[in-house]
Amino acid sequence: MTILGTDEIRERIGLYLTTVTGQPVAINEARALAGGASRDSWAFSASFADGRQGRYVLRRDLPTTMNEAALTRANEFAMMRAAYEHGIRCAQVRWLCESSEPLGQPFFIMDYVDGISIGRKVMTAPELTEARQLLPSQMATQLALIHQLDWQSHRLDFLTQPRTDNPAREAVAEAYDVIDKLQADVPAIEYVLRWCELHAPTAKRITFIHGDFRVGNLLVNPGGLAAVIDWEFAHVGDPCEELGYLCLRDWRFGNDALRASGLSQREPFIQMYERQAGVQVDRSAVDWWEVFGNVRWAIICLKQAQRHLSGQDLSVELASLGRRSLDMQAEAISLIKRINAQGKNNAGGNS
Amino acid sequence: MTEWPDIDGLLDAVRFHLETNVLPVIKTDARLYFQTLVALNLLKIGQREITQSHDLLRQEWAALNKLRGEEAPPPEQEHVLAREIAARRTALAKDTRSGKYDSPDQEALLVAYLEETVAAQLALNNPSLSARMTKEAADQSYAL
Repeated sequence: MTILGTDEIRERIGLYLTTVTGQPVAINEARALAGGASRDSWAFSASFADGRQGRYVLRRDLPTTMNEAALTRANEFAMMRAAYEHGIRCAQVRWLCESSEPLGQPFFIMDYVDGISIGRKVMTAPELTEARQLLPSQMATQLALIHQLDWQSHRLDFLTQPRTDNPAREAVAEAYDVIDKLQADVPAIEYVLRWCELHAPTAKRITFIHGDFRVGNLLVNPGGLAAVIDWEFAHVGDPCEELGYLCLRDWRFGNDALRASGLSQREPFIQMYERQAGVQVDRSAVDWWEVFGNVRWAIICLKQAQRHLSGQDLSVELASLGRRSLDMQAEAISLIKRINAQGKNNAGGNS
Repeated sequence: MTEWPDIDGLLDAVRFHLETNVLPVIKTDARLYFQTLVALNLLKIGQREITQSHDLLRQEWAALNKLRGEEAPPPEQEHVLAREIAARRTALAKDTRSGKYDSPDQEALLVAYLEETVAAQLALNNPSLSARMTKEAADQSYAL
């Protein structure tokens, strides 16, 4: 990867924007943004010759992607544009460069949105106390909007779509495929996948899905949810997948008792979503997708650790993910036990 | 008295150096600071594993015996024991996928084995989460 320092980034972005806007553009400041291991992001401010000023974020591809399923920058750009036009709270994308010039990899530029995304900070920052009260309803509203986005009319055909009418079964088959390629024999993962296979729900709706909607991928400021970010795993599927995924214990950042993203109990959250979306949600399907979300994340952890162990991408973070897999294995087993017990209770008329 | 540090002592020395001498001066580099915290955590896991692996292997062997309805004595040498356990886990993984443990009775046996072994591994790798989950199970505070 082309390693660029701050001064080089400023100079190259300035040249690029001057070219594409047809007027001199000065980059006043630029700073690298802390973020995940799969991307390179910079925040910068620009002054245009016509007097405009703006603050922006640049996202650049990295050659070693964490997940082959992630969208390219071009596709992410198209998808974020569609989301913005649909009224979803996300940054407005401005410029897309698919060439390896001037920054070495494709990139796009979007408006800067002020807010905190780091999960632990969102959950503990004193200035976000009121925001945390607002977030559940705002998240439910945004999810309802996301699931209503007409991806076909926005020509987002590049999105991964289910091949059958049962995305749950397809997801299990994909998970088996990944674990087989890793040649990992993990009894806990096999048990959870088998349970998932035997209890896979049928999707009542197939919609556009963000794919990684949770605290950690939301920009939050004192007003609450400022923008949904990190759209690279968007796809088409069962929206219950999204509702289950945000309930993963790993995304509650220590607030274990609040099942919906560490911010609210799950039932009131689902009810808010139902009111906004105008649908009825199958809670047992959401349970299933929460179990599956845990085992899929457990498998991804092993896959990331293998990138380090194989020498492909030496990293202490990737190595540690191999041990973190146990967190999700334990959680999935515990969830299944409680779901099974609830099922017996309901069958006995004790609900 | 040992004249030089044992393995645990060596790891402890590395941990001390990172915590005391390195972390304070890299605080302005958020990414490096985070990566070093991760490295420190892995050192702590390694130290726990060095002291606990002997007991954990024997515990898992006993749990596998119970699941398989066997009373096979564990191999004496630890590396042989670890290899045999890995082979049994492989067989168990295949049997699980093929449906051997689908019936309620068989599932209960498998879950008993998994709960014991995964809980032990979790206690070693993430004691904080392990403690929280143990407390939830004990006081049944985690309803769906």
